[in-house]
Amino acid sequence: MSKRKQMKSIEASEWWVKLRDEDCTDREREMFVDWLRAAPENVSEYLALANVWQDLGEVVPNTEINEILAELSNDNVVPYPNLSEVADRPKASPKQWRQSWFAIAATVALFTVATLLVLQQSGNTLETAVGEQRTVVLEDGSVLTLNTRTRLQYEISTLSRNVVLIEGEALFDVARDINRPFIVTVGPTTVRVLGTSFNIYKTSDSESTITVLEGLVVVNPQSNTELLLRSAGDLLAETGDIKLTVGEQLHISSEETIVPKSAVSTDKTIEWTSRRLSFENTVLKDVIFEFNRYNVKQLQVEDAELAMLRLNGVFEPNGHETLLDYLRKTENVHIRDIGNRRVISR
Amino acid sequence: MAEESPSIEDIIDRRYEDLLRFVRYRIRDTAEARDIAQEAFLRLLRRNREELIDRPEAYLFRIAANLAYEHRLRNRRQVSDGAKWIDEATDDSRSPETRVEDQERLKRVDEAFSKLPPLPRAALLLQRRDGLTYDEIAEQLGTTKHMVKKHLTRAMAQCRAALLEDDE
Repeated sequence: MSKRKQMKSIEASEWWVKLRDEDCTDREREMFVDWLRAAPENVSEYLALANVWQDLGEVVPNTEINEILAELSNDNVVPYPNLSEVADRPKASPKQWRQSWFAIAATVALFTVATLLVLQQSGNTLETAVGEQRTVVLEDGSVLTLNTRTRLQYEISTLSRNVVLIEGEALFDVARDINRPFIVTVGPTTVRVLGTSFNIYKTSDSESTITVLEGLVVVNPQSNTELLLRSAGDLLAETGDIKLTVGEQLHISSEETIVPKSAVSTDKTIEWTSRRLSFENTVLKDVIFEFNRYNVKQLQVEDAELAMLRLNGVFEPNGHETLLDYLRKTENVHIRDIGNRRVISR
Repeated sequence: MAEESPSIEDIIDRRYEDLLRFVRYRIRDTAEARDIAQEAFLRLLRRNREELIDRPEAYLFRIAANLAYEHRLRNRRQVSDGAKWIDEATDDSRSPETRVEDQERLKRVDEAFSKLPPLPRAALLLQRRDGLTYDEIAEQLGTTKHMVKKHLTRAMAQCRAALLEDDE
């Protein structure tokens, strides 16, 4: 099947699924009609799904849910050959342990260097502008959704699948492939999976947040080449692999070496995919940081007390008006436009 | 408040089967009927918004009837128009070729469905057979609504792909 055709049928399937969601909005329905009207091909793809749906009605009654669920429990164990070996070796003597760490560190370092070099030369770059979002299907069937102002490079080969998240935020739905690990490098951190779904938000050069939506993800927060070579012994002893599963989040920043993982709402983490920003008891300063990711015109708070004001609410990220209206009504603020900035003050 | 007229997506969801049956009764060939049903939808979508909003279902069936009629003229096939189209309980007026084609389709969809990974397969089963909502499916499968949607998208796209191979 041609790639284009494949994209079309995924697009149609996305609409098919979206329209059957109880939370589907009127706006989404309108967008669906626009999509249908955009090309006859879209209509035929969508109707093809209606046909499949009809056929499925005759097919599925022959299936037992319990059988599938049984398969599922067998399938749930995801082997991570190299990494689990590393993690399960705490009983080795300190010396051996140190040597093996060094060997692993050196291998990883070489590998990372090689990966980065390869990516720089031949990697494909995906980018989004301010306020833009984009979904891309890679050759291996993995689906990447890029949030606003995001840049990444990827390289899919017969041996491995590599992505470098240079800036921004992306949702990874990785197609399962036991023979080709999927590795995301974000700053000093590598995230390694075989097939699963997770979100990475790189807030700054040294900070990122990884949230797992499905399956198991292995994170090495310090697999920076320089760090690995310099401190293969002691530092790595404290900062080995961290395993994350569904609903777990890891926040990595340069100030901390070991960051405890926490449980989070996954729906909230990926709310951005439906172009919504929601805040619960969030200080205005942070709210503005989020808004500024999506807009060319940057908001700024002048009043320190105002910056710490706590907000609740759901907003559309593009454009400031809903937020500013809210502030005008509740806090009696002034808004001045200065060049490319909008300054909020009392 | 006046009853809202159905939207396009409602029509596709609820009336597509009826439309297909309606056309198939007239021309007795499933593959052709699908083409005609599709053409009817395309023509419906080409109308402007106002026309779309005003009784789109009636319009859709009228276009389909006209298309089926033209098709019959072209093929000079004699099909009785007297019976009611909606009652198809006893209808097996499909030609032998059509019946074989339909069987082949079902076989392919069945295969594609069986080959799906467990989660997409379970999600689709719970949706199609048991009519569960996404939240209910997520609860049953111990995953999130977002993932249920991903699984279903994948499941539908893969079942669809199984039919594509000789389509082109």
